[in-house]
Amino acid sequence: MGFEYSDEFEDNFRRFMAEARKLEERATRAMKEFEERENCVVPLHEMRPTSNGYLITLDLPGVEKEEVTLTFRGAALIVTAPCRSLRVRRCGGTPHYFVELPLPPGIDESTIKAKMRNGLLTVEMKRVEGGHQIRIE
Amino acid sequence: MDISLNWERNAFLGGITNTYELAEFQFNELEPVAEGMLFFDGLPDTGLVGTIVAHHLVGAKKMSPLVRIDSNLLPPVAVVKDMDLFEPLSVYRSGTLAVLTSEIPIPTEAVKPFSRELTSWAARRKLRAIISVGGLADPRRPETDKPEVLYITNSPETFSSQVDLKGLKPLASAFLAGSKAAFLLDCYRAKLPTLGLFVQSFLNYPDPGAAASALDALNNVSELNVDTSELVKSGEEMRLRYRDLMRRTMGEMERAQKSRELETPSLVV
Repeated sequence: MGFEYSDEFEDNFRRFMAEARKLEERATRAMKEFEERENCVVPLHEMRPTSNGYLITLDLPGVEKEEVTLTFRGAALIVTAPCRSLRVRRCGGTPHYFVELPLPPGIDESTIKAKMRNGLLTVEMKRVEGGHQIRIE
Repeated sequence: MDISLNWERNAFLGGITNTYELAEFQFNELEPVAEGMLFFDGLPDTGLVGTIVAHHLVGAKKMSPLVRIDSNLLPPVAVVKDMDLFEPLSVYRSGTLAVLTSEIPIPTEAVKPFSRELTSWAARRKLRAIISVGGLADPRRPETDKPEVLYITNSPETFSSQVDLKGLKPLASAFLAGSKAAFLLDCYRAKLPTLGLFVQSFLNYPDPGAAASALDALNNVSELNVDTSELVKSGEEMRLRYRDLMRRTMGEMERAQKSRELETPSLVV
């Protein structure tokens, strides 16, 4: 039997979308509350897999490379930097950039390299090498 | 459309000269819309390129609100500014330029109805031409100082006198996804003279540099001739200012299958 488009399908789809939005809203609220509480700005960031590891970028506008503190602790990458925005002011004073990014398992910490260009921090890391090759019969 | 109901609504809302109401969206016009205006689409999308351009135009040209747009398909959000309260989706006007911009991304479910009804409004109001600016995500953007601008148009004769199309690269074969894709498609279908400009940009970070490149390409269009140095100078502050809108837009882009823009269409004729 082929796929049939029905009111039931549409209702389920709408319910699913509403649930997805609810989860997204909760995550956004949690992050904004964290920013308020900790007087920090969580920078926009993304992590992409590469052929031998991961590439992480973080948007840190207005920051010079000497001002960034990048720490690998446990299984996380912690980034802090001053934020001199004229717009982002809170009662706790000038905020700072802060984010703790959980990393996937198997990162070779000796391969972590970082560079900064126009306020965009790029962090490259490789997975631990090893394993054994499997012969194809 | 029930005219008496419309009159009552206008009287209740005050200051609205006309309500152009379609199936899902209401276009509340604050003053009569003149024929022959140039329409600029600055809806949030990749790198918020169009939105940054639109906001820059609204500020630089001291534009005034022309149309406030509302719908049950939009979240119940209002913008507060200087004791005024208005809808997040608006069209601003200065001379013969009308600029569409939004403080919120259009929810994916509302993209198609909005696009259809916006095109219908544009045709009814006899707009002269449509320019839509968006970003085209490119992983090489961090290494690029001067982002490349690509274009697509259904009416080169309308735009070639003001935009150096030969200096830009045509968008030959690609997927477009999201609000820009839907709006361009509807404009093409309605045969409105349309120019889509797509600038190499970051996907998930606000990109004022790409916005400056788009405006530089449109510099000879008299309505869009503004100084772009401020965009470059205050670029870092802008990236922070647009952070929340970018985050919300990222969610909608994921639902709109934005990753298709990284794929190649399989139909080759």
